[in-house]
Amino acid sequence: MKPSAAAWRTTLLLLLACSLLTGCYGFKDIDKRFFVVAIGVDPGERHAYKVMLKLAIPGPQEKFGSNPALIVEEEADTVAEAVRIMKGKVDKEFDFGHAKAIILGDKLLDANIPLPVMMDWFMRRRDIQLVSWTGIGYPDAYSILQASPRSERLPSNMLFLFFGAAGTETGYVVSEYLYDFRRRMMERGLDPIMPIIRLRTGDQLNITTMSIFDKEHRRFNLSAEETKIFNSFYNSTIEKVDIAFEENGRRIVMSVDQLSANFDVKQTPDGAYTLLAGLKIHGIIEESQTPIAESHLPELEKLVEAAVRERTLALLRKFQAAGVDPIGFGLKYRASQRVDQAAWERWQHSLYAGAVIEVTSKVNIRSPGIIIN
Amino acid sequence: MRYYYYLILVNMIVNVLAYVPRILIRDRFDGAVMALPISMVIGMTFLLTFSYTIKRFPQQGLPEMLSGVFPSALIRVLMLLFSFIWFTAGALSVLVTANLTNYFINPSMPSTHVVFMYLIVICFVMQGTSQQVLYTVEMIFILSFPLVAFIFFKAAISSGLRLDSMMAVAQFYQQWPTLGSIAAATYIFSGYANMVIFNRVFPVFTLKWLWIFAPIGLSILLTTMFLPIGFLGADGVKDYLFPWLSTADSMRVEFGFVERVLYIFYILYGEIAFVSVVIHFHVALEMIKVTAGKNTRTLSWSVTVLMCGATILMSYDLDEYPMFRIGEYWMSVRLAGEVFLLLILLYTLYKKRRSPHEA
Repeated sequence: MKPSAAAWRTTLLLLLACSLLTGCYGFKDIDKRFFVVAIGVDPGERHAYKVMLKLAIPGPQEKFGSNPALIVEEEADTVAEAVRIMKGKVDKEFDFGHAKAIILGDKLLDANIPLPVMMDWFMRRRDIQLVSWTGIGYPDAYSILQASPRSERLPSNMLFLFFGAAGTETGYVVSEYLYDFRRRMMERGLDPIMPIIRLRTGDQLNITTMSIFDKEHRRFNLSAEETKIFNSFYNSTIEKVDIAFEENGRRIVMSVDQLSANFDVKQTPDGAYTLLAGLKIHGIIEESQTPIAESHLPELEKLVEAAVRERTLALLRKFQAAGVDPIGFGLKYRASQRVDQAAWERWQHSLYAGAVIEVTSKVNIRSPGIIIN
Repeated sequence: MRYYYYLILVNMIVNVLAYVPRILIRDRFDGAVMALPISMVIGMTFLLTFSYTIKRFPQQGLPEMLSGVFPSALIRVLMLLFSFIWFTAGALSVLVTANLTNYFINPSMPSTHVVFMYLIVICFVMQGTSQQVLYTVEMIFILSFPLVAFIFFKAAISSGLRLDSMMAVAQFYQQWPTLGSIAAATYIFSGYANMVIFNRVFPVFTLKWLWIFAPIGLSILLTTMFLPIGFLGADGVKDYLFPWLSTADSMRVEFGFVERVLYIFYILYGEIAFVSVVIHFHVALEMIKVTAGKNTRTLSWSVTVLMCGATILMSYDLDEYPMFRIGEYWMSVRLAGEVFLLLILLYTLYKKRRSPHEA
């Protein structure tokens, strides 16, 4: 089947028609775009939100401190309106394709706006990636956005390195992706969390703590120590953790090489539930204020086990008392049997609150470091 | 022979992406879980029955098989009806792809123009001979298979996947399934039906390894339904327009060229949907040729233009919701059509066996 002249003519015509289609259809050259690297939201003075966009200003070369950026801000009652108004404030088109951090101001979370309302724009917009990181800016989102640490090579890169674990790795940073945040907002039996980003002197940032939410509002913040414990359940691959404990008033710090945490829900014969949490830790001693004899290690292991058990138990009790479930026991319960709405309400109202918590821990200290005594 | 497998596999993969997961996810607490094994049984029964039947008719398309048993006028009407089902399948795929393009690649381009651009390529490829179409299918399938494997693998090992959410849904396995979810889930298996035309170019038809589609199909169904649930949550997943696209967007390739898996997924979807549309339109075109009773270039072009025009018209005023509803009805119609197709084939086989001189 050889194409005839008529077919060729048609082809040509169609191809010509294609050329008419290009050019004017919203395509903007890269120099006509502003790349948004981070989005911040604070409570506004006149309106509900003050939305801020951090726009990267591309430079010819990449070196330390070459992180020029621009912050545009606008107040409005919805995020979308604010962004629309902001378009009139800059000369280039916003491109959200690189917006990898969403920062909510600390005060905004106390402003009595339910989370689903606050986060709606971010979920609904097609060009906000679901793998962007969320965080709380303390004291406000603006100070986090404007921070331009001298150690940065790209605008907001410090945040990305923090969360992406490509740079520093620490047990204190909880990286919360937008999709996970949304999942937690909707999922019965798994409650939302968000890390808190603090401004440090010298334009540096610091992430060591986090907030716990119920489905709509913030409930409380965790301390750095609690964050670390939570993170061992949250992030199964976290391995850079330390555990400090005391023996007769002397502090000893253990560095963890391997940590695995698991949790489950078990039904007791009388219909009540037990929440089980187990931690397995391997590590070495990193610092000690007292000499450690080699034969002494098993006793130290016992001490660490007790310390871990006690702290975890305290944290879980705290969650239970507040009626929040960021670890996901409720979801485990749903996974263990068919849970319809009635069964779920029973869990929420009585079963979870009345559950007994059991924590087991197994610690193995491999060596006292490279010093024997 | 391997082309038969490609036809089935392409159909399986393309449906991971659009309507099937959405229907299954909507019904996830209302019997979609049980629909999966049931559909596997139904789908495999259809597939095997069909394969064994057409084995008796080497190098014959459906019209040739039927001739002699049914009056030719009836065959023409049947072909017209079937061609409509095939055309809608293709058109819906184009529209979904165009919508995706519209959402994630170029929001300021009208959907109609996106559809137009797709159709420009499609309208040339679909008019090739059945052999040419099959070669295209093979090439594109092989090119895109690594991407499928990559995304599935990436998703399976991702730490964002929550087993508990998937289990929470799986616990509803006792729920009796709805017709809608069965219709959607059996669609995964119905790639075989394209053989009604493509069988013309299969000289020998051996039925080796056909059972392999049972495990493959079931695992594809499970993946289709449960991976989005694992990523987006048992309760949260229902709110996503394109659950699979959002699932792909929830994965991150830290050190890749493209950080967002979404774009990789989009390219993959574009390729597979293209192949699937070409197959469907080709089958529809061939059937209309039978209805018209002639095979000329003018006819082929005018039918093509008609089909493309109808698709463009559909893209004008079909929004997401009505399209989804149409897609769902279409699934049920298709299931009925499939049963009907099998029945007439079996009847034909029965008749022709009784009078062997015709077979």
